[in-house]
Amino acid sequence: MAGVFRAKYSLIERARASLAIQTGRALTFLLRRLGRGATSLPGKVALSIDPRLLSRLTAGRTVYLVTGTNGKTTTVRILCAVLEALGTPVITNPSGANLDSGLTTTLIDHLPLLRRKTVGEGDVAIVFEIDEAFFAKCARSLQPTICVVTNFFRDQLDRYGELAHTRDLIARGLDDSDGHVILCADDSLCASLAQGREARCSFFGLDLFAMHKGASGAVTESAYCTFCGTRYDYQAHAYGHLGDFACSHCGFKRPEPTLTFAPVVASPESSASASACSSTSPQPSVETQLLDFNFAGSRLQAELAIPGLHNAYNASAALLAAITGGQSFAEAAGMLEKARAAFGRMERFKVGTREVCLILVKNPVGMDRALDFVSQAKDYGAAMLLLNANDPDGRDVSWIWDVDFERTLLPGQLAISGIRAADLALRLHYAGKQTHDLITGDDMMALFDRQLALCPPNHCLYILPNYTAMLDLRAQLAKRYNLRAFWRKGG
Amino acid sequence: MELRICHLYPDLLNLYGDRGNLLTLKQRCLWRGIDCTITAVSLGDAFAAERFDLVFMGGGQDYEQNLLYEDLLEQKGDAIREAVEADKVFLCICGGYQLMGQFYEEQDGHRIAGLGAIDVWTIGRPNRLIGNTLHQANWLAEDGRDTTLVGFENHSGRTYLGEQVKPLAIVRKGGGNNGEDRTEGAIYKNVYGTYSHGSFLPKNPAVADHLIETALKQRYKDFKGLENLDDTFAEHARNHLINCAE
Repeated sequence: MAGVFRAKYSLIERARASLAIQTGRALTFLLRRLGRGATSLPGKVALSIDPRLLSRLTAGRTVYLVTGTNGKTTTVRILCAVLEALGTPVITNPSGANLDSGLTTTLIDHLPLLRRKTVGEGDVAIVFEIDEAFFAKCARSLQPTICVVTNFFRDQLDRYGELAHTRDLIARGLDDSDGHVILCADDSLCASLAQGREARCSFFGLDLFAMHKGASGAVTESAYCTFCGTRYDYQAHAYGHLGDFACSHCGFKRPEPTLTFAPVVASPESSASASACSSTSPQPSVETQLLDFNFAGSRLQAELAIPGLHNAYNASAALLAAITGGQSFAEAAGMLEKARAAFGRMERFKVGTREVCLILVKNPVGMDRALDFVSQAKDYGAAMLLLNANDPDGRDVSWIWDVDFERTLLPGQLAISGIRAADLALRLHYAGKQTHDLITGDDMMALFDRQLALCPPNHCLYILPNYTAMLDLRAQLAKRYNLRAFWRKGG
Repeated sequence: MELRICHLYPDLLNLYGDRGNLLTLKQRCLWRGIDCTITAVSLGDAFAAERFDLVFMGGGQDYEQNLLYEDLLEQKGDAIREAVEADKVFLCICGGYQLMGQFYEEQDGHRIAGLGAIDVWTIGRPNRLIGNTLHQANWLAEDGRDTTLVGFENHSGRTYLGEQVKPLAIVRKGGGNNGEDRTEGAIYKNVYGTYSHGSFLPKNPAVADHLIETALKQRYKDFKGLENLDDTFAEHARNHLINCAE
């Protein structure tokens, strides 16, 4: 086990940790030989032999933890792409395997990388996506170098309880570690985490000039000050409750971001050439956005191959994390274009002359963002929505009534499938869709074919599934179109 | 004709898609050519019952509910109690339902006073009652409407009904008011309280229409009643939940 541990341990401790690792590795090998997935059991067994294994393997290393309600997976994905492009090998967990057993399994899987002698530049970085509820426990054992908190949007309340409670769980995790903290300046609940931790916090946010003036008008969450309960005043807003907030009573307000970004509005000629280019590119096709970044007085533009304002936020979070981790602003920003959309998040591929785009939606703000994006897409051809209510999705689907379907009612006939398709059809009916424009059915692929046929050539079929519906559909699409090769790295 | 809805604290009590209830009330009016206005009445706003035909109060997260507590009891309490006694139509969900009652007793025994507008009280418990629900509301048969209610509950408080309060429904599946006496929700005069969240009215159009009809009859004395709507989509959603439960 030489070189695996950075901290000094006694002979007995080392022996115990080594036994745990070897057992875990043997188990992984065995499970894979049996054709079984090995994402958490080996780690679980290893931890039962050495409960402190996770902290032993990570002590003295650069550890990035990414948490928050939305955008974790994409942020991790972008951060990993940037670090790897700049020569830092990265160990990261598959999305979903983010409890300590999954993290331990991930580390055991990458033993050769952990054995590498390099310290400093070229040393391995560990980038973990962490569930909000697990963050407190995990931060203590992992002692992260850098924590990224993406945002706080209302998610699956039946699973975690209240948003303020989720914030407190993360606050507890931050207090159990002393790493640097990257926060969203535009999210009041997220920015409030800096209180009492000012010296180790920095912020990313949308440039004020790129926001819409005034308050959003819509009823949003976290409308009242986290500290004193006064209603926030908004000078400008981005989307949801993100914006330039200020409390007139206690003075808490949007902190000055260390890193700001703004989408560069494309001229008509450049967007035409971009779409011409994308129609000839091999699958999976890519849509990009140009972003203007400003860090410590220097300004530059960088391309991001993942569309959507919310993904620009994710890219900024990842970029600021990379900079805080020692990368140069210019070099890191230049590598943003290397990142690709994660598993089912704005993922595109071609079917003949048409395109298909999968956009995972898990909660109201995610759906609002997706609808916004799809309704503005120039290549919109048809749409399909999928709603399941399995445990990973949350059993409660009432969040669909918090989505502003009225504002961005997608045109044409909509196909709807999934376990709770009837609820979604009912919701869209109340939003103003006529009965004959709502096609529901259990056979997802039949509906897929139907919508693809509706879609004119050179246009895109947009599919908006929630989590387990996305897994179902993706598995079927992969089988039919042999897409596995392109999607293997998903996670 | 017009239905004027008051939405109490929409910026604070807006959990679990409760706004779906308002969308439903409004759309079911509009589909029938009845105008509908929704007015937000929040912190610092006066509650003038005579300006409204129907009052809606949803549930909120603890932090938000604490923020409005004083405003609700001190500034609006008298007007709300008067309106209740004067047969104004109220729909109150979860936290809103609890706040209409006498008190909420926390797990440590500490009692928080409610509005006392209806004779129900709530005792906090550590474990939550969560899941899809199925209830039987036989009083809906008097309207000639479907008596099965479907919903989703998520609450730790256990609510008990006083003598003058009838249950909204009897539990067929789920915890209901308290997990003990098989009652769910409450009816007192024209106040309807329930633990069914979010999509309560969309999936129970019978209750939505009953509320609209009751409210309009109070305002328009010669109003005969609502025409039926095509509720095929609601039927599908209801059937799915009913089939899952049985």
